[in-house]
Amino acid sequence: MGAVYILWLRELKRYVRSRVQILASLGQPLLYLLVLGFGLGPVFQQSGNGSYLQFIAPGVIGMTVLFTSIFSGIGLLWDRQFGFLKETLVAPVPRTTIMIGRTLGGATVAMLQGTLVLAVCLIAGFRPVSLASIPLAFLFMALTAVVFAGLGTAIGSALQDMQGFQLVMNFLVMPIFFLSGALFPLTNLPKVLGAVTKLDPLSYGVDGLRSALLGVSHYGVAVDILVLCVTATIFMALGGYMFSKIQL
Amino acid sequence: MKSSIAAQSPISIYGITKRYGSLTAVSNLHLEVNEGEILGFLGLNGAGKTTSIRILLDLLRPTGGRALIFGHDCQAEGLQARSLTGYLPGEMGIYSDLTGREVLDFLAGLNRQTVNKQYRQELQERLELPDRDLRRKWREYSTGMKRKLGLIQAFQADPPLLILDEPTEGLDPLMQESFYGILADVQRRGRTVFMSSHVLSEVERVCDRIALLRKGELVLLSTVEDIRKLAARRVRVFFTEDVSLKPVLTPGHEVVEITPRVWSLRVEGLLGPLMNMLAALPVKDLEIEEPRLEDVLIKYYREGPQ
Repeated sequence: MGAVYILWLRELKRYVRSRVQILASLGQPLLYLLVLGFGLGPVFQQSGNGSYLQFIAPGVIGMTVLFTSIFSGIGLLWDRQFGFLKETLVAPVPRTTIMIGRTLGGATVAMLQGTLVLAVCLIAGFRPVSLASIPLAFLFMALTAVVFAGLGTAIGSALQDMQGFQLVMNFLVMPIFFLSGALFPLTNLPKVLGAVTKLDPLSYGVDGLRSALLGVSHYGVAVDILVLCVTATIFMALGGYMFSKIQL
Repeated sequence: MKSSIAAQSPISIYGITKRYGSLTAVSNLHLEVNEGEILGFLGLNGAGKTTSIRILLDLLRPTGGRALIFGHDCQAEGLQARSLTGYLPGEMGIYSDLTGREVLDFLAGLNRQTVNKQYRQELQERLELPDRDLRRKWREYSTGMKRKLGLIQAFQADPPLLILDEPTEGLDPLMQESFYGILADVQRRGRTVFMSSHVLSEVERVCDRIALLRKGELVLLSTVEDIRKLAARRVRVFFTEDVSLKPVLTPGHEVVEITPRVWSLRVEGLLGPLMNMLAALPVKDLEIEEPRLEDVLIKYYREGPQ
């Protein structure tokens, strides 16, 4: 237990101490929120869907949690490259414990980053339907963060070098984001696209956030929670397995 | 009475092999490290030293064979094995936002070690890494400082076994001396040290035994003393007057150069036969050079055992 806490705290401190990185990682969500939120607003409004800023804000929060958590896992690759991992792995601590501490740390960082973006959304004019639903939003952020931190750890453990990173970025992370319904409503989609979005775990995270913050849900809160919990378990187990296979 | 730990060798390696595809990094290595000894693990770059060490720490899994630390299988019971081990990696890599002290505390915490502050302080003093330096961030550390911090973290919990990968790399001569002093102290307290090195003079000075790897195979395992005995000595004989006689030499002795007043010889093995022959000659002086470990080891580095 002690080791989980130490490694969790390490990830957190690393995040807090890298102010430049925190600022930099706000850039992309801001761009989506402001440019798309205000740029596509009128079109969205005309089609009778209400405010696009309201609609896209939970999506942008979901996106932030996705990127931060999955990259914290893939960050293993860097840790390995720079040798950080060796010192942790030679400690008499089970690999699973190390993986859990590190991954939960990454997930927590993703939640913090998501919270930061939620605050930015509020400043930009986003208004949740009720404040009472905010805790539910945090639950969805947490679940989404664990799902993708686990996936990231699995990928980061499997990748041998930086070249694989671009591949993962273009063929996994970006599709997960675009197919999640973060940017468009999931209703009335073409059949194939609709089916693919159902396979995307982020769909359920974003849908959960939307139901918490806006009170509208596509799948239903219970389904969202269930799918995220199951996926989180699978990805954490996969991450743990891949992590135990690492050789340095 | 011996404790259960003492009943087992600090390190027992039974035929470990590590292959990467078609490359064999370590091949059927057998090695036993005895309690309380300092064993020097030698070999050129790429000979398989670091690979072997990483198998002991379960950073790598062997393709075949097994290794034990105090009787605990390094892979199956890695936790017990590693809890008895202090490790200095060849290259320390650590989160660069940490200060030196945070690095020490982070690693001690992760290792669940109870660190004796007084002992850590003593190590700091001997390696000249004052508190002022421990307040600095890792990214500001020089190579030498990183090495010192690495040594402190390996020694700070005073573990029964120390595995050190090139411990003096990057240390200046004064700090090397301090390090040798620390080594002598831990050995006096019965600790075991397994250290890789490629500095022969260092190994000759601090190690009890030497294991030499060549292309992944153990080609020499011997005490430093015995290796020295294998080394040829240079013997120079000075005469008071010209000697025209040719020396009659036994096998193992050979002529380097002969002048009427001086003979230069290479002598392997016993000196006695030479002395007998010289007894009848007008010898003025005799110069016998210390046998050098290098002479023997370099042969092994190059060719392996005959």
